[in-house]
Amino acid sequence: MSSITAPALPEDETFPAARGAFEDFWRRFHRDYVALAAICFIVFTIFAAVLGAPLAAWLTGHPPDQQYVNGLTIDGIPLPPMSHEVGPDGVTPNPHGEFFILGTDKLGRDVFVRLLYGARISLFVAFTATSVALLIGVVLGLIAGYYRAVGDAIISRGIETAMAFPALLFAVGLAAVIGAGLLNVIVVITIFSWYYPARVVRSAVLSLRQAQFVEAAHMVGASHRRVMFTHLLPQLTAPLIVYATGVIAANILFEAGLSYLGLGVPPPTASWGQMLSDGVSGGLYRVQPWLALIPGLALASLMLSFQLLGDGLRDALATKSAA
Amino acid sequence: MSGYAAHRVATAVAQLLIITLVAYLLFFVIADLTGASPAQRVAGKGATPERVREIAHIMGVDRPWYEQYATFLSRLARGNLGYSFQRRQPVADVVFPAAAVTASLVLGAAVLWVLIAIVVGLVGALHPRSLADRVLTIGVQVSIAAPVFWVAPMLAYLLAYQPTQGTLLGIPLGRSVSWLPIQGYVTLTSDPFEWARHLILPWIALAIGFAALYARFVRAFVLEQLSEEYVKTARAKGARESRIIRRHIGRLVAPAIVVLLGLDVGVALGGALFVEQVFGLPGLGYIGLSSIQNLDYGLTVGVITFAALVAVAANAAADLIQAMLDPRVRAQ
Amino acid sequence: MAQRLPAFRPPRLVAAALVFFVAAILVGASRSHQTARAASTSAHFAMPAGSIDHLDPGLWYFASTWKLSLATCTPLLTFPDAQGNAGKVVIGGIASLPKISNGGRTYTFQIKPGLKFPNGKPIDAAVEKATFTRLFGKKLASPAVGFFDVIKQITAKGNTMTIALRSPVGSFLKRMTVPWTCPVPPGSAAGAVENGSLLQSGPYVVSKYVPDRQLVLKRNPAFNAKQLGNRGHFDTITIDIGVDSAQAELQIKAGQLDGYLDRLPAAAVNQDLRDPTLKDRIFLNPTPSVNYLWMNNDVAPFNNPKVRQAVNYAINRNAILRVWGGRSQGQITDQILPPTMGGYQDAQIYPANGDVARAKALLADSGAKLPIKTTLRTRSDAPGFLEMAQVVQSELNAVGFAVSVKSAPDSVNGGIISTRANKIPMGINNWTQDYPDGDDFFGPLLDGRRITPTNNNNYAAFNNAGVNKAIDRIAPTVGAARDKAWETLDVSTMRTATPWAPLLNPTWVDLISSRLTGYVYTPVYGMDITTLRPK
Repeated sequence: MSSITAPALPEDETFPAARGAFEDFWRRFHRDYVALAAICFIVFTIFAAVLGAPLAAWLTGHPPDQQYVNGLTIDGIPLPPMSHEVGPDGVTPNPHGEFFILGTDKLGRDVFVRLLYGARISLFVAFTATSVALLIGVVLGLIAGYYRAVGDAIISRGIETAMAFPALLFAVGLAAVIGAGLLNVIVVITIFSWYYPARVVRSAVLSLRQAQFVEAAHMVGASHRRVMFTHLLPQLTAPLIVYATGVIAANILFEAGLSYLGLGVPPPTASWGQMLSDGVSGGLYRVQPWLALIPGLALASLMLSFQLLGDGLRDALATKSAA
Repeated sequence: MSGYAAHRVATAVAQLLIITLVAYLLFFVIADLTGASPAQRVAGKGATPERVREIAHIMGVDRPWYEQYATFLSRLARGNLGYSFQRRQPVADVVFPAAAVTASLVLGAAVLWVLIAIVVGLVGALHPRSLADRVLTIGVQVSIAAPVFWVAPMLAYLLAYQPTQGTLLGIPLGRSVSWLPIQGYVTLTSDPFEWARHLILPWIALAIGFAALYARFVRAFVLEQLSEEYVKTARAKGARESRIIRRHIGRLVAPAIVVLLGLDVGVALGGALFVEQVFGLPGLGYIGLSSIQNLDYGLTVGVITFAALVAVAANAAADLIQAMLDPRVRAQ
Repeated sequence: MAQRLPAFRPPRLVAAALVFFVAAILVGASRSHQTARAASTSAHFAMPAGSIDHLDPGLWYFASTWKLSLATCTPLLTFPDAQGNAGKVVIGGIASLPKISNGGRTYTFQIKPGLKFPNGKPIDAAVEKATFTRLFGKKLASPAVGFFDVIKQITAKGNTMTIALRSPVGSFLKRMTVPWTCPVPPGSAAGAVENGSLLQSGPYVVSKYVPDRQLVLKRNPAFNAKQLGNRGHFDTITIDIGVDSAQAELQIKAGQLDGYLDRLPAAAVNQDLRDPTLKDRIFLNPTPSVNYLWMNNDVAPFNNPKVRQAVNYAINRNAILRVWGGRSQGQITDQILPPTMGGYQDAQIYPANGDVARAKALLADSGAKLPIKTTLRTRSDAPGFLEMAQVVQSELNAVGFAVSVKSAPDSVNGGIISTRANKIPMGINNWTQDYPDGDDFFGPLLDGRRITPTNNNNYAAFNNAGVNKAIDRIAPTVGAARDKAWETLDVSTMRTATPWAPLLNPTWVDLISSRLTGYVYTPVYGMDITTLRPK
């Protein structure tokens, strides 16, 4: 992912007296149809992953990891969408056999059901890794930006050092050594994404600590910890939420990349990254383009939704550049 | 200034030490615990256990890890990046040509994505909400979401292979056209045109995602600046829009992009790995990946050290230059 | 903000860059026609990364490097550059076919006259004896030792080399065809020499080698075509290393590459087989190899033959073949030796689609506690193995196993499974013959007395007294009787002792560019690059 930082924070705004920040935000947000569509899609994906997946498995009668011998032709070619499994001769479709809405993958498994179950892994990995990365990043960024001096120097240099690690090589090495696995994937992604939020929070805190309300809090006698967590942190939640959407989008892509290198969740678990890499490797996309297009579209749509949501949130929260 | 410079260099050295230490721990200590033995791989299939022990002794992997690390550091201080037992070559002999390849790829892609970003971003900022802006925005959003390992083979297939069979994106060409190679690398010194021709598709593949991100940034930045006070002042003074953009906003956007580039070049090395694999470019990513697969950990640590050295040195240099220009930085 | 915003003109820099790129494309495209004409004297092949394990003829052991040995060296005895049965007959290489005496214990070789190294020094019996001595050296640690340990003594005088064996071995002639017997120049270092400089006895020598990047071969000026045959039609052969198989397949069809020296992806190949324009340059041939699922006799419950037989009934070999790539990529088997082996009989011991009921019954009979938790290891860096492992996993889980699949690159995986102490329960591997005889399978893979603590090839740790006795009994036999004896042992071992569940015999597919002809698939090493020539 890139290092594009979040924009400047909203300073003390002059609102008409009666409205609070949230009403203001909602007033702008609910008219942004694109962002609304994005959030609907994300919610829909979550529903599809949690409820839709077992429902689809039950309705089609195809468990996600079930391999169907006749889901591949006798030449080992997966079936295209909307097709029946092949008959005994291994070539002609059997109209009374199993039906696959989105076809089969290279092991003869139902792509539609796996797509829905794969959403679980992609979402879970992205959300978990991002949350932990954000947690670490926010804490370190707060400390660095607030205390400055030695603490800041150490943490800043630490961030720089972490960013100087060649991430992908390390990820490959780490996974080759500790093995593939759901937990390992989350760990690897977290290790290589905590420093972006740390930098953002640090620079935000650095500019905020000059603000008047911080001075006021000091004068009233608030401890440093209280100032950090009760006064500064809420000011950061807005841009952090915007930033988080970007990080989630990037981590979805990161997981796909790791799967392509063979370091993702171990088989037979379905994940969109794994499905995409299976569809691309070995030139399979030339024979059955659906196997690359379908998970690719799913990944792209989800990432797009998070980005558009982030854009919408930022437009609704900021006072500038709403042109 | 010299105090700050000394302090900054010392920090850079410390960072390098930490990175190399972590790499050493990962590849020599932890890897050893999981049972993969580089000595056995070097010794060969017919080796007796005594022979493997002999090889391990020659390689130095039978000593405790802190001793190995100390030897590694003392060699590094003298400019020796280590030895690759798998290839029977000094690491430097492998890494420097590979670095040239990766540099060609990443720097060329960076130029391309900055150019695209400026064009796309400016169009979007100057004509916001127009049809062009909306189309570009959608294109940009989709580009960010396309994984490099998906884009690269598609590009090779659609733009390099299909023309040789007589079609370009469905349009029949009438004859077989071999205008771009499907994969391969030619060094700049042996043939500049071939070098460029072999790198065009890899540059595009690597640049697409970043171009989109940077286009978003440029658009947002320029839009923001257009409503700033100094722009209003300049307009009031009668300056032309294009002059405002080039002189005033351009002066601000350029350093911002440079700062982002400095940080993102390291990230681009990651995307470069996929591009190198698909297009057969023998760069650092490809060398690093194959060294891990071959248990050639001396080479792996060498590659990581080199990459980290470049990143750390670049950061330190950027800070020092900034300190020279900005006295406030020095006072910290 | 109703303002007249300026029309947008791209900066001059962008225009300049565009001009350079377009120029590069045009110049390059025009040049590619020129280079095609110049290429009638050079060939261009590719192989995947990590294909070359060693260029020292005493150490190389990959199928890819043995394929290169056809061009870069001449062994003591060899096979003709021919297809099918004609390619399975042992003929003279550096030496003519030997005189066998003393009940099969003494082989007297006459090194062919007039053979020289490029520096003018002759290739004689002393040179060949020194080559063998070097192979046995501890510093080299050659895998040849395991196959040549039956040699008691070698004597050399002039052009006569005599090899005395400890006991008669019927496959010895075939063992002398392996590329380890290629002569190295006198005075060669005792340790590994990896720059290719020791390859001096073939139609080509190594002119440039950049590890994991490129290998360039050029004609060997000292090659004696009168004695060794007119081999090789190009002046230079360039081999790019590190090329992805899917991209190489595109390049061959686009005319940018002459051929690929490793497996092409199954899906692309299956599509190409249906393309009538490619019919005359795509070739299918059976390989002398087997993909098999081995089970570790040291690890419960696989020490119980009933459990191993249950596994053979539980798997659906047809399903596994489909996942491997379908009927164009191989054929199913439940036997140890491949169909290319002399005297092969298709015994069909286990049902092709499996028999789940029978498998469950056998498991119940064996007394093993269900579910049987176990690990299956395979390599992650070759297409098809992980897929086969997943199919096996799902089929075994359906009868009462709980299989978890672990994979790693071959260098790591091979090291783990070949260390006996690791006690890996099961794995899927491929074994390709070193020479066409049954003892090349039974010896390294199934002879319990040859198990070593490390670098062990008998992953199943199979040690069966009856089988060992049979191996010894067959050792001195020759000819059709020997082939028949191996087959009988094969079938009976799979029926009762059942060390493995053999899965399939892969089929090799070669695609060559349209400008070449003269394709020959040698039954032992595969595609022969010395017979290819421009049309």
